[in-house]
Amino acid sequence: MVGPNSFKKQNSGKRTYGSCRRQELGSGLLVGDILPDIVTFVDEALFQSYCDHELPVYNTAKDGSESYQYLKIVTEDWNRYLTRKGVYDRSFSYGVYPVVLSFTANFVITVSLTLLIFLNICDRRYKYTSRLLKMGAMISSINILIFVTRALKKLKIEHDMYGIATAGSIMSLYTSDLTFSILDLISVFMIQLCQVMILNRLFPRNLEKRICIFLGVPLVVVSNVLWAIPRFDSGMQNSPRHWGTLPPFVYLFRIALSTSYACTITSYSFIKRRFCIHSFQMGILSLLAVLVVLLQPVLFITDVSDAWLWGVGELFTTTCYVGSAFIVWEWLERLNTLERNEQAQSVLGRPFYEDEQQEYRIARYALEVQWALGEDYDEDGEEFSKIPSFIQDTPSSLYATNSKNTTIIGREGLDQVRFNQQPAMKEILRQKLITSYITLMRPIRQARRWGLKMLNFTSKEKGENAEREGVVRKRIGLDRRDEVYVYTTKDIVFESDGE
Amino acid sequence: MKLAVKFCLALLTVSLIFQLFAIISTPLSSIPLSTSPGFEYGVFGYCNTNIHKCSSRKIGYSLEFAPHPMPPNKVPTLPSGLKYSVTKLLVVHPLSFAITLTLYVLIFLMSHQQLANSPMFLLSIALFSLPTFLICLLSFLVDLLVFSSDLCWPGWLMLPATIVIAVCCSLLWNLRSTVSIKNYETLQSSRANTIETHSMHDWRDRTRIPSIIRSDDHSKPLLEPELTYTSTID
Repeated sequence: MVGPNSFKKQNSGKRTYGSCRRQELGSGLLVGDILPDIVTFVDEALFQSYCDHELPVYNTAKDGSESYQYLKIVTEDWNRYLTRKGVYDRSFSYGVYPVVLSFTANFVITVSLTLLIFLNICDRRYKYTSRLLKMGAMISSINILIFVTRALKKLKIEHDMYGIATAGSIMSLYTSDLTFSILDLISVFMIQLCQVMILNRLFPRNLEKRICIFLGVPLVVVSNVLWAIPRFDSGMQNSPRHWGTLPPFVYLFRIALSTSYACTITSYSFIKRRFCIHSFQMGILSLLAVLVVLLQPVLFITDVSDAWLWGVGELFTTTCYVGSAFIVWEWLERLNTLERNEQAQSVLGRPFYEDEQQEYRIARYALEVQWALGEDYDEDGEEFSKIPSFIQDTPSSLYATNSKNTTIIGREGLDQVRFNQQPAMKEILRQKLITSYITLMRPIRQARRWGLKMLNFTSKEKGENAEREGVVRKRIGLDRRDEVYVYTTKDIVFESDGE
Repeated sequence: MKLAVKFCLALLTVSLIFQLFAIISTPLSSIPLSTSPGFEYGVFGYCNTNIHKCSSRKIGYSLEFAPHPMPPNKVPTLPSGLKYSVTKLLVVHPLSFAITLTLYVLIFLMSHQQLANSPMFLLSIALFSLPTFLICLLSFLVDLLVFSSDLCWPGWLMLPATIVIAVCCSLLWNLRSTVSIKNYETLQSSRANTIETHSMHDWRDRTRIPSIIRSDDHSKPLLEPELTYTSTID
């Protein structure tokens, strides 16, 4: 991986530890089952303590220090190592525990997100994007599963061999494990393409959508190709003099792309802030979406400023990508539903833009008709009451284009219809009364009908009903089912009625 | 329209000034982009304040006055722990300045009425603003990576410069869509408007008048389609 660790962290060894070099111990007895004879006398024994990148390590075995005493120089070095200070010499954050905690947390989060993706995202509208996201998330889950298994195995081997466990060995897996690198590249590429498609959803105009695709896809391809070059080309790795600036550039390029994505999502959430705070749940989701897209730039800053654990951004890259695609997707779905609900209350049903040529003209015509209606009824106050209640206006933010002054204005007039209006208390009570009355009357009416039936009084009524039904069937064309008529809005006189 | 152009120009002026501070940093002036004990770093080189000497002015630091590494067999590193070769990335600073300046000139051309109403010109400016934002952002990220916590105020000024360009960028895209709508409407109104609209008074009067008298065009129904047909489904 071309993370910051590949070009950073020249663990300069500002302090050198004597125990990491060979120590002459003089003559003495050597005891050990690896020797040909268990006990051997040697004239000159040389001892070199195990060091990790020129830093001393201590036995992690439970009873190591009690059973076998360390050499004095090793104990001294270890005590010096514990009291060190400085940027590269943090005691806890460079240990193995934060790394193990990070990658296991990473594993749990990625797998949970993948499960949620498979449960929540359906294939209806954005078929290919959702499949791409599912596939990307699946690959990253498998990748992280393989990585966790290998990392734990490596820790076990290290412990068995040297009695220690180092964070460096796990971090080196990120660069040395080819399977991890390939799967990571594929999954990140897929999820970045999903991000482009998500950005594509944010723009309403066709031209903007096209530009988004034509700019986003090449940027993603370039970013991933540049990422792959230093990772897979071993020749380049060996000549850092010529290609030394490529890995940090690619790393920054990726961060710049994810920051641009974060900027776009954040500004979109600001534009749609009215919908974002529509309900408590939506507010939480909006906050989560903004936080998750900002996570990658924030992790970059923590990485370069050594705020916590080095390479933490590298550990969480895949999780960040999966999270920033899925959570933003879910948030957009809900946002669009809210927006569509509001737009449905208007006459046009959705905003129309000038690049939709024909639809735009029809929309403008419809609005003109609607305004003509509005003006007409405004003049005549009595007539207004005749307008059905579902056309009467309520304030909303549907934007329509005014043909006169050619600017986009918010029309809060007759071009809006409210379907889901909360009825008044009085209305609810009235409705309940009517419903209970109908429910009460139903058995009474039924009983009455049975009584009449028994008395054979219904024969005449039945005949009338059948005749009326025949007229209606003829009128709506049910007697000739395979013919379709398109009527004008002229007054229609049904010939069948005359017959 | 003119106000938007002026606002964009003002924003870009601020961004250019902010970027200029980083460009003219040490060794061109005494403003450091980053400092460490005994050293001052800039875009085109660094100065050793102990011996009062500066490195040659070029992109990518030379090792002539670099601090002696410990142990001596190692390569000298920057205070952030990076090798000196990474400083070649600071090339994005002059690049960003040049691109922002170009954008400034292009927006300045928008004060010309004919160009300001050209959707293609506006689209190209809006498109050009995207790499401007990306490179300005990259300059800030490079500063952060190379100097990390030792970054001085000219480096941090790159962040507001990037935000300002982002605002300018969104403004340009909005301007483009507004001009696009305006042009479309002008085009439509210049053509003969074939769609007739009638007042509701005429419509209602029509219903009152007997059908024989309704022969003139003016009293046509509001939404009468041009063709009426009957067909059968096979």
